[in-house]
Amino acid sequence: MNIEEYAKLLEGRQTVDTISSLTKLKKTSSLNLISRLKKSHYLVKTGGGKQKRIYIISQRKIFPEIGMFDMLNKYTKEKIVPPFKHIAHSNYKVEDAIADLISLKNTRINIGVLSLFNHVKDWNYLYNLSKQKNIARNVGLFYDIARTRMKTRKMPENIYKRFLNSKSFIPYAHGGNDFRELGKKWKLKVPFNRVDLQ
Amino acid sequence: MITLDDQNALFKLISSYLRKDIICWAFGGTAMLFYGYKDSTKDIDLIFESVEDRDSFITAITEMGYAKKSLVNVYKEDKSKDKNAPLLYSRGDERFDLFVKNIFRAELSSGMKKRFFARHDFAEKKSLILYIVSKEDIILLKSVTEREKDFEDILKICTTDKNISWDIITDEAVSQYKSGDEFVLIDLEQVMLKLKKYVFIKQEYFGKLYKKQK
Repeated sequence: MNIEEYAKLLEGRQTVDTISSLTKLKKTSSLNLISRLKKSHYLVKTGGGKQKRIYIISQRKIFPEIGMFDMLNKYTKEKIVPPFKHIAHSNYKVEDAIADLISLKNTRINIGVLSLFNHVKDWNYLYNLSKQKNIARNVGLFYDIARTRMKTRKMPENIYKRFLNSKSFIPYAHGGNDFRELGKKWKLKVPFNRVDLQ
Repeated sequence: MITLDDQNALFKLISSYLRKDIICWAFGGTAMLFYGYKDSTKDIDLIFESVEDRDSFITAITEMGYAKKSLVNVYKEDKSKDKNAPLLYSRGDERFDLFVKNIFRAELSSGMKKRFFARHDFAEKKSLILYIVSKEDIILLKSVTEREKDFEDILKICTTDKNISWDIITDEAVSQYKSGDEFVLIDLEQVMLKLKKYVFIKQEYFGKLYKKQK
């Protein structure tokens, strides 16, 4: 049997015991097979340590992913189901994720983005990126909202002023009644209310 | 032939040669690699939203040693003469098929853009954002390109993945037909008839195509 045939036979969730019984291989041979499937990207493992290892096997290759939604779900309490798959093949930072996620104009995602501001390291990079994506004022607005709701790193004053005076923004069609003051300050509607953040 | 890892490394390298940020859409074998349906592909099929974007991409790959290639022996004669025929660039046995807005008479519709499966970012000097079209659109676009091995690829998708929405495929074909591609229904019907020998396709989907052809 070649590796694709093993992937087809074992598709789904398996443990080393179920793999042994399905393939009629000894435990050591099954472990070798697991290693081969993993190298060919047909298998990912979960568990380990005290937990029993469960292997997820697929006929389609499974690749490790790092993208805006992985970054978002790493830092937010409320996990979000990605509307599409995003994979960044280069050095992808929190600043990139903030700019990409705000560009999507999705309210649930925008709420999630607030948690990312505490992990920003390079504010200047974030400003340049958001200016490039035409969302500088949107980023500034969400930063201010994040500061009112959760622990957030402080942006240097000079960069804050650049965000505030920027002419690049994308408008929101609907706005809530809360955060009106911030909305006025940034000349934008805020697409959610205080209750949505709880 | 190029594998997924090689292809990712190649796109990363191209992004370091680009002079502006580019967005493009991958379909065909390239999209199948990203889906995990196959291990390697001969051609990298890309579609750009403007001629300027394609030109920038071409400038980058020619700097890397890719040279223009004739369409003869790759596409059928009538396809080669189509005004929306791709530009081919190759180096060794890797080949880029570069389209702008249309894949022959079929267009990259707004529906296809909304349905995309994944977004891959390659950012070195400039960023190359690659959207991967959905599996349904891969099938439809492979039906209209009619190259050797296109049917094998369609069969591979349909046998590996049981969740193919024929509703999406036939609706998109009808919409393409309405916007001026008079051959899309015939091309798709031929592929579906061939596929019927291997996978189950409900008669109603054929009905949808026949109704429009009348």
